[in-house]
Amino acid sequence: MNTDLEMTVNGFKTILKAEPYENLRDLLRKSGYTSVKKGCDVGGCGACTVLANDKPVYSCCVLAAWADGKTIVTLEGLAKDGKLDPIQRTFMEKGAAQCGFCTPGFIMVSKYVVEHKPNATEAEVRKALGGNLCRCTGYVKIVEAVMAAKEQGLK
Amino acid sequence: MSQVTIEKIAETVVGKRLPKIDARAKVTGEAEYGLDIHLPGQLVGKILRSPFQHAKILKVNTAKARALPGVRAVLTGEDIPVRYTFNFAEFEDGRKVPPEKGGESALRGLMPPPRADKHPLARGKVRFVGDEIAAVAAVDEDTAIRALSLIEVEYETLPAVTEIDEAVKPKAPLVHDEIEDNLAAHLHGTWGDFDRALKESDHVFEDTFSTQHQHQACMETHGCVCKWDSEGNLTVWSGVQTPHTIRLELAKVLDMPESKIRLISKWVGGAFGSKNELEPFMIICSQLSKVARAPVSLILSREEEFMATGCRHPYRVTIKTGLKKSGEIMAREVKILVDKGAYMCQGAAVAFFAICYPSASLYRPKAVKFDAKLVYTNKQPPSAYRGFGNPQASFAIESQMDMIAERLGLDPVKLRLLNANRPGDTTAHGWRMPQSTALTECIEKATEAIGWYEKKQHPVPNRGLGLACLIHSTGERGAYGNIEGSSCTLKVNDDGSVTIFAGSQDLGTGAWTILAQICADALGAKFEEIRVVAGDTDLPAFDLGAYASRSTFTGGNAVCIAAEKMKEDIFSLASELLNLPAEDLGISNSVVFSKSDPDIKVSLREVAKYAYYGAGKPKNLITVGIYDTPSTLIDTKTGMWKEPGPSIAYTFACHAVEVEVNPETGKVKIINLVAAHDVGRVINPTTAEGQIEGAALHGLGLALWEDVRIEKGVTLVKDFRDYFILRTPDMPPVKVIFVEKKDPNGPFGAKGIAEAALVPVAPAVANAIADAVKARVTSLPMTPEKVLKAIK
Repeated sequence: MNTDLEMTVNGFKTILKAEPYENLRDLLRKSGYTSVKKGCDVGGCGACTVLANDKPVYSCCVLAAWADGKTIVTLEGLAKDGKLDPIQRTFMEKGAAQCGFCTPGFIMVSKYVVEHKPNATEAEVRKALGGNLCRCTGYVKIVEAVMAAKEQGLK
Repeated sequence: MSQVTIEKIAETVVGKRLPKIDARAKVTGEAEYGLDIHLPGQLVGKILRSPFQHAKILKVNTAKARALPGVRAVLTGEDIPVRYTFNFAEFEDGRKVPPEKGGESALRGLMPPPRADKHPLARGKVRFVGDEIAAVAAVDEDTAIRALSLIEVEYETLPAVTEIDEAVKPKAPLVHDEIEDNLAAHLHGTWGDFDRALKESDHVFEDTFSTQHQHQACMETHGCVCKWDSEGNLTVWSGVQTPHTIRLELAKVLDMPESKIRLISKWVGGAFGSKNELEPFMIICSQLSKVARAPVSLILSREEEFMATGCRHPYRVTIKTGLKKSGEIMAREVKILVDKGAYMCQGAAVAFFAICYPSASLYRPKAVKFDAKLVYTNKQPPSAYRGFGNPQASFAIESQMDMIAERLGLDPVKLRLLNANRPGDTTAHGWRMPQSTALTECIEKATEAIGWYEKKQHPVPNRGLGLACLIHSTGERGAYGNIEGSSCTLKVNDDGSVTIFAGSQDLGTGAWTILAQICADALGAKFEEIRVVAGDTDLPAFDLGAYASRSTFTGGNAVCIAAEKMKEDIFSLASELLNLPAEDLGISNSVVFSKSDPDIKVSLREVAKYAYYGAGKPKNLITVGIYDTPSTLIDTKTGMWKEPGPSIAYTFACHAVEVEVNPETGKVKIINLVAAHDVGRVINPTTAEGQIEGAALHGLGLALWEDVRIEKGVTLVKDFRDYFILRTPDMPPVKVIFVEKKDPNGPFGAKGIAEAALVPVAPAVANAIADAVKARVTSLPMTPEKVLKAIK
């Protein structure tokens, strides 16, 4: 019953085989993109957030088939030529990752914020991150990391 | 050697805001948690759980499930006949041990002995909705779920008892048939002359408080991957807090030598107390893997996580406090009724902590009386959660402090300052407060930072200020056996870089980074060239685990000891290379130099090359650091401790909170939270702040929202839509203040921090609400309904 889905994942055109009822998260995870985390199954935690055609989505809440023809970016796809993306660097520097389990989802939505809302205020950044849960940090260092990456991007 | 002197060592790396050594793996997605492990031939394990609160299991028919293609193993309670519990899994017969046989006073004088009350898979009957009944391993998740649906269980439902008030009634249904009164444990006693202290009091107040089921809600659910080899060795991958002691318990349950089990726990997706004991899923998974002769992955769903993994025990706490006219606390009595749920888990230890820490040690009561009853109910069994009983008891004690201040017309800040613990104090039960005790300074700094006295002079309608204090442990002797220690092996590699093989565990707190920072300064090595290899029971290192805020202190001291020994070895070899006496040598930034002529030097890399390849004698640069705190166990004859007590570096804090309450809706808004902590020397301000900021999230949740909501034994919370955790837009500002008073025993003067910061939040919020709208809420969480009710 597998269906062939053609999509671009982290810059590579690829064909992934999915069950018709499979969600995008499970497809990506079984294809080796294990940064896409499973924290729940209902879009409650945001740990599975990926970019689809440049927009953040909960990959547990869309069918794999939905991604057919789309461009998907997971955390594995952010670093270029071994060089970390600025948002990855600021997450490191600011101590935004504690246990690290929510980190992939947070970085993906933060990447979107940094690129598409470069003038966002802290309150707007906080609102944009509202779909992701972190149980370790109290969000303080995560917000600091996004603000720092945004400032670097504006320079 | 149990102690090292680090006074004279220069701090170049300690105290710096360095990125965590495992941060890169976390920001690139390389970190492999339990659910990311995928071995060739790996199967999926699933657990069938009880739909009833209380029922006899008449028959379990697994034939149809076994016949389903793709199913490789099916297990029921008959396949794993052991009975176990937390704490060394003593396989007793499950009956209550009578007091004359030491039943209520055997372990540590006050704790009941561990009673094995749980089967990994239920036998005879089920005791809560979610109790494990059967399990399957199949080629994929769909097949495993299908197989579960084919297992036929015949039940005979029994009357259930889901509330403690019902459970203690005579003739109440029995959760465990052999426990006649549903009394899982009873801890009681006195320290000091309680009657006299009460008689000498001018005022006596008694108040009752209650708390709820709060869930750790780790972002990574519990789970593991198990694999056996043909020689009968079991490897388990699972993110846990306590690899060695969980292995110890698993070895007892499986009746095999500890060394034949390897527990690998490198990445832990949040723990907060929930991953420090052996749980059914790991035993079940190991047996599925054994039967199926294939690796099995068993990861709990979010719904299973909420319904069947240990949350915070709900407490009903009655505090009686006797004071002098001046406000000096003379006597304190604490009575606790604990909703234990269906199984003991760490319930007795948690209650013990709630009694010994805030009840007996916060402030300076001259005598303390305590009585804690743990009552079985047909509900999910709570267990350890960050704070370990301290948040529940501190909510009661610190709420009551403000109520007393109001009744006596005293200033709540001054009342606390009057009674604050001081360095060198000895408590009623024999604990000595460390020289680093800085509760007074914490109170002063927190009130100053929130603008206490200015704001009190210019009150704003519906706004209020509240504060609360805390005492907590840095490590806890008696949790396991009679040690409070940690060890590591230090290796200077043949390129001069350093590897720490650490027993300490890192739950994301940054503990391994802290060890590397301590090592950098203690050894004089470059921080960038230090690697930490840990989270694996096969390593040459041992540790009790990451709980009780102990890793920096015990693990850090072990590293200091290993580094001291390493320096001796390095200097002995370098003296041969430089033709100088070893006493003349120093080391800094991985370069050995002559103290009398710093231009004469040799790199650690050259010393290492010489050690491994050129010295002409067997010489490796490998040392071991073993540390145990000079803490003490309780004297079972007197029920008291010999000084200094179970910890040697108790920590203190004061939190101050400003709230705004909507008197129409009862909704509470947190305006500001200030947290002042006496953490000793801060090794890494970023990670230390992270602990306090993160704990504030849990503390505010405990105060205002978080509640697993179990109705008639049924857990209503299934996922994060039902369980409210603060999100980024709603998180209030948290101001962290470190009162850095170096502890004489801590590595570079450091103390513990991780657990403590959660504790004072809820009472501080309660006190602020009372200040804002003159209404006292004594029950957590302080929902708008409860606040409104208190106002009217």
